[in-house]
Amino acid sequence: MSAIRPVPATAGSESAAGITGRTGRFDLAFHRVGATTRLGAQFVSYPFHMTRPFALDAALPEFATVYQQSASGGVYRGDRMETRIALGREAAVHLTTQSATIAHDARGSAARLATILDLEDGAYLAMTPDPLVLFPGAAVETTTEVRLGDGAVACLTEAFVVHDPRAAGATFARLASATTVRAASNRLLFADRFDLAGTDLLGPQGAIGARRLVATHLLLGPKERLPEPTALIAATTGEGFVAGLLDLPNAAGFAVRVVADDAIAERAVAAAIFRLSVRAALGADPAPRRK
Amino acid sequence: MTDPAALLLALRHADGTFPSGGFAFSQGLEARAALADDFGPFDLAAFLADQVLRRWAGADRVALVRAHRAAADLDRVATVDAEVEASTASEPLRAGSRRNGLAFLTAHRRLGTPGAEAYHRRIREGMAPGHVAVVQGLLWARLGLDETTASAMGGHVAVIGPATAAIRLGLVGAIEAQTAIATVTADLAAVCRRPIADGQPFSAFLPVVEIACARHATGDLRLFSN
Repeated sequence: MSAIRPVPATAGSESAAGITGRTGRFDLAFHRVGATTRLGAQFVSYPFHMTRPFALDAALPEFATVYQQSASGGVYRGDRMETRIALGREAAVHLTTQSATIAHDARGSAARLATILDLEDGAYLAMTPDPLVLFPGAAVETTTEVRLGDGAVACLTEAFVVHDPRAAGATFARLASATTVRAASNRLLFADRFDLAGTDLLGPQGAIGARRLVATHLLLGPKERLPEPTALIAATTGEGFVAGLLDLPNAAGFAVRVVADDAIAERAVAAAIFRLSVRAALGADPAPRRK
Repeated sequence: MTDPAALLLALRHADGTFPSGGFAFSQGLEARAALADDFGPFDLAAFLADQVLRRWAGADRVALVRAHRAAADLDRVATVDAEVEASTASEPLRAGSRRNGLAFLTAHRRLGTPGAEAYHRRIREGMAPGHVAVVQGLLWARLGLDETTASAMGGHVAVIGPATAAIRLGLVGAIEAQTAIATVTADLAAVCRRPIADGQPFSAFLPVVEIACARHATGDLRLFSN
């Protein structure tokens, strides 16, 4: 099921703050049962879709993989989408998508995408969606709240790519992103926010020069369960992108910032970081993921 | 500002000769200039615009103003300071801001500025990181400079610092630097007029500078700490 099939949005309601469009929830709770991770409580509503968790990694029986799918053509004006993932003690989950998600012209009513991740002690979550493709006029506000139990590890990707299909100099309207990472005690470990207008990125003197994609890969948790910095630097050196390894405050972990020509260049970086993260946290390389 | 005494106070404390420790930091400029192969030739005006609009406006300025408002209560100032620490992803920029803040605070402590000694003690005891924007807000408030003036001073320092670094690196001459500063002055003034809500979180977007600083931190030949 592709995330770029052009299905029109369902009718929404209009409020003083703009259009409120579709509301969708993707709410899953996982628990470790013996050597495996099992899906417990779940609530998935349109436009989200999920089949079932997959066991793709023979060497890692505890590692469950879930594809977050969409039955619609991407993100539309006024959308209110919430993803909530809870991992019990020592549960291990990979949440990914099958393809990039298109954010369409919002015509003044921003879509809001909220993600709440709650990891109990020793849990592992990799959340590696494909990039958000920002079409001209798109307006999206994303929030990601992470709570990390003791020894828990999260490998989180957030990426966007600017797309102007007619090459007419058009760009997205706005992209706001707010990520907060807290310890189980609620102490703020790391916060990362930006609020961009599409015009901020236009032209060779824009904030990312002539490149079109920005990605942040967060590797959160205790350093003993994270990849070695030298391995991360080696894996994030190549053609078509520039990357830098950031040592995050409050011993929250690392971030890899990437500015790339396009989604193809970034894909190799994302795959390398995911592989290193799984190996460091769970002890073996993951099997390749089908997209 | 029409009071000459207040203007002179502001000029003195935002002047390049004030021993603020800022001379050791380029705020990522040296690193960005070294990435010409990846992001094109270095352009001081573009760099300053990036600093003003995508860093200082939503992050340092907000921290400065929130610390200014909290200046009577050092616990509240330290809370803002901890938030700055958590919100600065780049270690070289984070460490530079702390070192710059400590140098600035040390100078004020020796000058006897109210609040400097007490906040310096907190940093020594590990109770506050001492980021420069927070220390600026605290001390300029204690000196009696109003919020708008303090904000403009912070913006001025944020522009003058990298411009001076560009001159020292031989990237531009003094006249070119002044021309570049002039191109961001209107933006700086407009940013200073934007309201700031109590508790407003910090926001910045500088992926190129962060990447440049990450690479620069391991470089052999560099003049500045960041």
